[in-house]
Amino acid sequence: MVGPTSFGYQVAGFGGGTAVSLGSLELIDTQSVSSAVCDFTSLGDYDIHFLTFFDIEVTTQTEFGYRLSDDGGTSFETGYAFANQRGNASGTFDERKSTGQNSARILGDLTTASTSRGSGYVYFYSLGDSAKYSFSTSHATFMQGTTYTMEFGSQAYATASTINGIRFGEGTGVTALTTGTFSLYGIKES
Amino acid sequence: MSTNLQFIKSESADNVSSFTITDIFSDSYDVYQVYVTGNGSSSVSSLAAEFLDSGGSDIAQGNYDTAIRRLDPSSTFSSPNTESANSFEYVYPSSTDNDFASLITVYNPYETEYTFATIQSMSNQGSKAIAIAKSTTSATGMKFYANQNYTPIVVSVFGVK
Repeated sequence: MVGPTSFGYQVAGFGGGTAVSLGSLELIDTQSVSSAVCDFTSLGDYDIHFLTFFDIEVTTQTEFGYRLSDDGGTSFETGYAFANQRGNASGTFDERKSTGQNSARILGDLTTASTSRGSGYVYFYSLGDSAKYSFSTSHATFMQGTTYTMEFGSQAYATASTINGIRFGEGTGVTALTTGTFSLYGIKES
Repeated sequence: MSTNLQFIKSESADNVSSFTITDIFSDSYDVYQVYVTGNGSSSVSSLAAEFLDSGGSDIAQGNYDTAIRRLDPSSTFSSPNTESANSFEYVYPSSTDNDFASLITVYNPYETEYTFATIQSMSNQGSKAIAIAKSTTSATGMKFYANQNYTPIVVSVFGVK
């Protein structure tokens, strides 16, 4: 098995596409996209979801993030709060935040340079609970051209709604990425 | 079958100012993931936690150090770091009636050495933090505090193989 490591454990292998149980960490789906957004519309019955993204490439210098859907992916909501800390190996640390952006930002200013690929993870909370806001926390690592950069932060969709779809893409419009590989897991409490 | 993330226990309570979950740390794992969700009730700035020994006593009273980046979507970020505290803050619902979600990853709680934790949370404000309980007492449980009430609190614990 190959795959990224998060919090000191190997989470899963990419490219499976079938249900894989890693104890309480259950792979829902893996998708590799090319010139497309990445939609997950079968989220299963979990209180907590875990997502890894790998080798994100964008069409222009922009940010990478997600939108949520409460109608199975027919439409995707706007109006997200986020607060992210971005740090460059060159020594600059920036605050990136909003109380009402059209997308939830995970990382930003990824460039189109050949080395500018982004990878990381996101935890989602309470997506399927109609009475609760949807929260996420994230941590990403990427190159801005030749500059090593990381960005971590937290995101919220502050509307109580039953979320049953997630779209990942570039820019605040969450549009088609050049490439990217995504694995979505549910965390089973049994 | 791989068994990298193993469910240990999930418990919840409602309308309580503190919540204790016991028998979650043992010699079976070195690393644990503790997911905490709920609502901090009204007028809550921050929520805090501590580690307990098998007798229910705080293992590091006055000996928690925390380095925090508090991520406010509507204001300048801050670092409300603490040293020699009685507990560690893990999420910032701010001063209104907000839901919250937090992941506390705990390292070596059962060993007779210092217990470390990394924390990432979201509520009205986000946060990322590291915390240490400067105690060599073995921890087997955790206690969560609110200065008002949790309405509710849900704690789910997993061992990492």
